[in-house]
Amino acid sequence: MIVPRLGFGLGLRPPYYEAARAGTPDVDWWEVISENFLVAGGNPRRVLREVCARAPVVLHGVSLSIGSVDPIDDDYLGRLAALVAEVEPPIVSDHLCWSALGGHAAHDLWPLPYTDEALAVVVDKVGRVQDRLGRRILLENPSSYVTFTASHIPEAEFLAEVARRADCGILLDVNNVYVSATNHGWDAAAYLAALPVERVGQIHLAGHSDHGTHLLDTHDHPVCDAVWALYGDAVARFGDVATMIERDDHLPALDELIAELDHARAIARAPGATVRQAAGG
Amino acid sequence: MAELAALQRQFYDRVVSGADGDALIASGSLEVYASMYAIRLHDALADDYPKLRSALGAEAFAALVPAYLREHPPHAFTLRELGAALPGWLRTAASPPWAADLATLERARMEVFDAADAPALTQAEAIALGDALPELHLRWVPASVVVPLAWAVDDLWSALEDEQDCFEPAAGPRVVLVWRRDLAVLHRTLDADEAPLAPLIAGGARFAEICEQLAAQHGEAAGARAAELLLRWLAAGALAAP
Repeated sequence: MIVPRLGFGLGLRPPYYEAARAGTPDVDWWEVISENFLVAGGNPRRVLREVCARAPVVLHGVSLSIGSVDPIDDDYLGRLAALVAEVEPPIVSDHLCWSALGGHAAHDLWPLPYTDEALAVVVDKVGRVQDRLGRRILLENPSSYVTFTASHIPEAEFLAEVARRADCGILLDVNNVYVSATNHGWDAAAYLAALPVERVGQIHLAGHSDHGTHLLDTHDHPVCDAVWALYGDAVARFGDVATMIERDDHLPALDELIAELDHARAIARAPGATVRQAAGG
Repeated sequence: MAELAALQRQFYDRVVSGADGDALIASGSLEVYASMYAIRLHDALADDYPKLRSALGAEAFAALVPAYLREHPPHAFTLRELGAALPGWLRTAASPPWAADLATLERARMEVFDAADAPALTQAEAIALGDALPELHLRWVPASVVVPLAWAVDDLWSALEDEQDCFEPAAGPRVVLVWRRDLAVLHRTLDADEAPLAPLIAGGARFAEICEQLAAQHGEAAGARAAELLLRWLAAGALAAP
């Protein structure tokens, strides 16, 4: 598995467009939501062109619906392929979830039952997507709020098996591990231990909301202490993987996110953190 | 895929329509997903139609969203398309008669925001054509929409933009041109003699045809009026370079 060493990045959201266009030395790379840039022109496309000229930009999608029994949306995949060709991103990712059925979109990341049947569906569709894009993709572990009676494979083992069989990478969302582990009583350390080191190519950090009965992955708070601690464990296992802060709501001043990014840098450089050998871009 | 398909159908029906699905789950609550589905789609429509929401009131807007979604569930990978059918749907819904026009104007502005880029024809380029100007095919820039309206919702739009109170717009047909100049989305209500020209320009009419169209109304003054309008469109950056 080839893991690009990008450093520390942020999600590119409209309040940060001007800074990103001008160049931000403290942000090594930017992640964009692919769907927001699958448009013909105007400001989104201008911003993307200009930011791409200054820093690496990775594509993070929400619409592949890789676990749905629906066929892959060829129109979407074609547009994504064109965006990939234009941006030449070091990483292209989406989620281990499903988000469409019968031609209707959920606009959400719905959880899969972790069964042999679902595993076969995901592996097959990842293969088709990678063939169309001509490159590996990374799949992100989701936050979830239910478990299914049908599931008989632990989520981390399911994701690891998808990555091995489909020859894709893993985007490890440390906050999602924490949220799902808390919601379902999973062992977060065991979750990390079940993921193959060589397959993890990117890490997401984010904040969540506590709703009493469950944690909700809202991306509207700073990263909490427990997630920072888990990130330390992740860095110890997976090394200096490209890491970013995801913030989608209650967007703070850029300096505040850069301070969080610096905290991630400090954890990744602390004694005990593993430095992985770069295997190229 | 029989079992996975059945599970996903039951999950979808529970989350979207409130059908029974609790037998699927070992722990947690499907209501979390149902609630997020409703909120996300409502918020996406509210983002796309802020003036309509202001004009109708947040409560009335929230009430129409589920009714709209029952007839037009999301079908595209992008939320951008979620509200595409809302203007047409409002014409059949129990809403004020001008609401569909206001939504039409907002939708046009949204479509123009990220429509294809293209250079605008400049005044210098038009003048440089000299005697060939009558043969110039005029076309609106690709980032434009000609919007025929039955109500003066452009006045209401401006008032709401200035954070004034909502009022019932006057009835009366008009044509609004929505276009993008550089990155700014603009719209303007066309003059009475200018409105019939808009669809002609959308079809790539020659400048000579524009002059002929104006002759019926303006007689000998048609040439001067055509020149005035051409300069207006050029200054607005509304015409595409050939």
